[in-house]
Amino acid sequence: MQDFPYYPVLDFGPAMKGMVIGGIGVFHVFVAQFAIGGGWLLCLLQWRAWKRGDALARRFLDSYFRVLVLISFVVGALTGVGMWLTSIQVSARTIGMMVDEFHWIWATEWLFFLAEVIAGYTFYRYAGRLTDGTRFLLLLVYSLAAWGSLFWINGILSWQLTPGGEPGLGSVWGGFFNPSFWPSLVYRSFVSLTLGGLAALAVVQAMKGITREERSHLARTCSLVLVPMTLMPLVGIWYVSVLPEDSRAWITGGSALMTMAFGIAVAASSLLGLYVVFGVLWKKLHVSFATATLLLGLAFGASGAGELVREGVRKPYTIRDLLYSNSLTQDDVEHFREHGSVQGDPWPLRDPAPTASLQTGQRVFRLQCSVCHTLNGANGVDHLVETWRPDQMRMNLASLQHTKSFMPPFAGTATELEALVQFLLWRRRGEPGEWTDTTTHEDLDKNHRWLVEATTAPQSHSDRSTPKHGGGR
Amino acid sequence: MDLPFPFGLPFASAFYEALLALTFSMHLVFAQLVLGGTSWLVILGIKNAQHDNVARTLRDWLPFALGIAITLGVAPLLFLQIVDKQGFYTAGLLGSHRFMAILPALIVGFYLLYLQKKLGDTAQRSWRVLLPILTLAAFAFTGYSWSEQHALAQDRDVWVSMYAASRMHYSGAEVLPRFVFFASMSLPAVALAALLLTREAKRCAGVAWLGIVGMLVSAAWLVATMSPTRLEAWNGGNLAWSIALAVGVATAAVGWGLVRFRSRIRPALLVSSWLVVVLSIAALREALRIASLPSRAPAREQLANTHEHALEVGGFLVFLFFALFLACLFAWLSRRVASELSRSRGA
Repeated sequence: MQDFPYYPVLDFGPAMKGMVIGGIGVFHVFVAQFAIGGGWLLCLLQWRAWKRGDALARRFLDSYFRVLVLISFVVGALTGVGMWLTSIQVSARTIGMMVDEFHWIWATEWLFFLAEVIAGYTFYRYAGRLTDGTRFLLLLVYSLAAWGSLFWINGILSWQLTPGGEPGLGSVWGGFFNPSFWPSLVYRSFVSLTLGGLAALAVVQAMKGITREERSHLARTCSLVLVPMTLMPLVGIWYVSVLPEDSRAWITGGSALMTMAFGIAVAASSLLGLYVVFGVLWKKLHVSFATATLLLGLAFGASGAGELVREGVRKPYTIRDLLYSNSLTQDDVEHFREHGSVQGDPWPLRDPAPTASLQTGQRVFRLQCSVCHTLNGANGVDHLVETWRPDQMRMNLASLQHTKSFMPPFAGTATELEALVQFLLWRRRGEPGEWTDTTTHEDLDKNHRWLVEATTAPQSHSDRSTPKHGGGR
Repeated sequence: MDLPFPFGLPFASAFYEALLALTFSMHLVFAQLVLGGTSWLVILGIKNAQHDNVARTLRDWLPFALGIAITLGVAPLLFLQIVDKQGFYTAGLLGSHRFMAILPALIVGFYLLYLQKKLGDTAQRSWRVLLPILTLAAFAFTGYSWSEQHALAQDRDVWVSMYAASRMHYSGAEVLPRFVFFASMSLPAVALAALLLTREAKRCAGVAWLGIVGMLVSAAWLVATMSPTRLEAWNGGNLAWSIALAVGVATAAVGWGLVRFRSRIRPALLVSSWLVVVLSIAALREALRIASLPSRAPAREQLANTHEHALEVGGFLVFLFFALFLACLFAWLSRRVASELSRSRGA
């Protein structure tokens, strides 16, 4: 009997767990990337103040840095910790496996984060009394540390999507420099510059005591960091080209939501890029505070849609080929098919159904389905199966990965499958206080046959390798 | 365990446990500056101490201390996930939204610190009282939540019943005395920082002594709530850490006595005694946590195997390289900044 790590499963009511982590994640990524791009912009401004005697750049820099500190050092840092804690709430095993593999990378990232905070606070506190050279040095260290932090965390996040070839679990560098590492890093670096630049445009317009010409001059300087944005289509193509074929399929029509999110990300980025190149840099249009804020909103939308795509195209995995979305490994699936998945679950039901069989179904739902589905809220399973006949339900659930290829295979015995079916039927009939289980031997035989036919392998795609057998905790 | 923490453990476990204790100590120093500093600001606000040197210094430095405390808190969180996933994850999941509320509390507390710094002495009296109280509430809630989470992670017997009852609040006997102990400990910590920054010897000594008395009372309270099994972890090899703690506290008390009655400030004595206190507490805290782990041999063996596997994972040398590189870089930068600051003062 393998020792499966059962953790208590939380219920977020009508909200999908993905919505919880996605909400915090998008916000954190937006703020963190703004801090990185903002840092490079500050370097540029300090360089101009130092080497060209640009007093206006220096004055703006001091205002902008305070915004950067107040937003990124507070909200950015805390949502970063929040991401970690939320990940545990949603899928403790995923974060545990990532920590097991990459804790020294994470520890290195922490060093860079610490360096960023110390350099940033030193500048915040003493910049007014330092020479231009030292100010530039501090900002350079701040920016390099912030970007370095992205460098390290990018390797871990991109590993979830493309864990790499042969080395896989157990080889840090094989996993770290995985196929999507470089395109992801370049993509995120460009996004960071864009966010830093757009936020600066808003701050320029909000600054008091400067003339319109000075405002335009500053706006053009800040727009320089937006130029790499024009290369985003190429980076996007590069990024998409390294995705596994089935992941690519999700964003090119395979999944309506993913395709739409991908479309929003591409369209919003293109609009931003076009406005920057033709409007701000070429035509030298005046960017009002409202326009700058609107552009930031557009960037937030693009960034959010991009993160949604990144999370979504991993399905049915949370770590590709190692851990399914419901935190089961391929070994677990095979073991649970033989021995059952919930009899060792020590966590009681909080609102148990009236019969033992229904409770088994309830436990199966909690263990295998609840990470992505609610019962009757977002992505509610009641709604998804409401038109299925009992036999159709049995067959579809038994061959889940074939019913919908972004679903993991069912990980339980024929009896557990039947318990889940009965639980869903019981809910369909309004959760009556008394329930007579009408399951026959014939039903169980059918379940067994369909489970055997479906096998335990995930839905195969032409380039998908056989899942690795990882047993991380 | 006959040897003091972490020496009685297999090498891999000892390595990660030591890192956890060490990084936790670093976090603790700054977290306590924030909690103690905010508490002191509350007292100063109530006493209507306007244009007060200590209040100004605290308002000036606390946002920085909080930023560093949060950043330094990441490392022990990381190593805790190596040494005890099950306890940490389960307690976090059981605490659920209640535990996660520390994030908005910290954000609010952080901004309130900046607001106090910005307003300075110009704030009206009511604000000088209200803002520190709100800030303290945010940080005390955070500190209490961590005490609760830490105690819950060790109290495995209540996990299932707590989950079944959908209860997010854990009120084990150790939680409150533990929190009071750490809160008391924050006063000598901030007193030491304030002494070094303001040289206001008598006031700092008063606050430090108040904290030391609080530590002694709450330590006795904490010990009284502990089961004999848990108390055993304090004996044996870990008696050495308990003695170190007692010596550290006694030396600190003597050091503060010299400050108060002889006006003799001995920074080295105060700082080193306080470091001994912090390190001893971190070690004893870990020794107690280890004692709470399942005692079955297979479970212990599995945990040791997990640590060994973690040690085999690559990346340590890169971490070490950057740790040294960044330490050298910041040593050089600090010298450069310090020399420019002294030049600017001279000018």
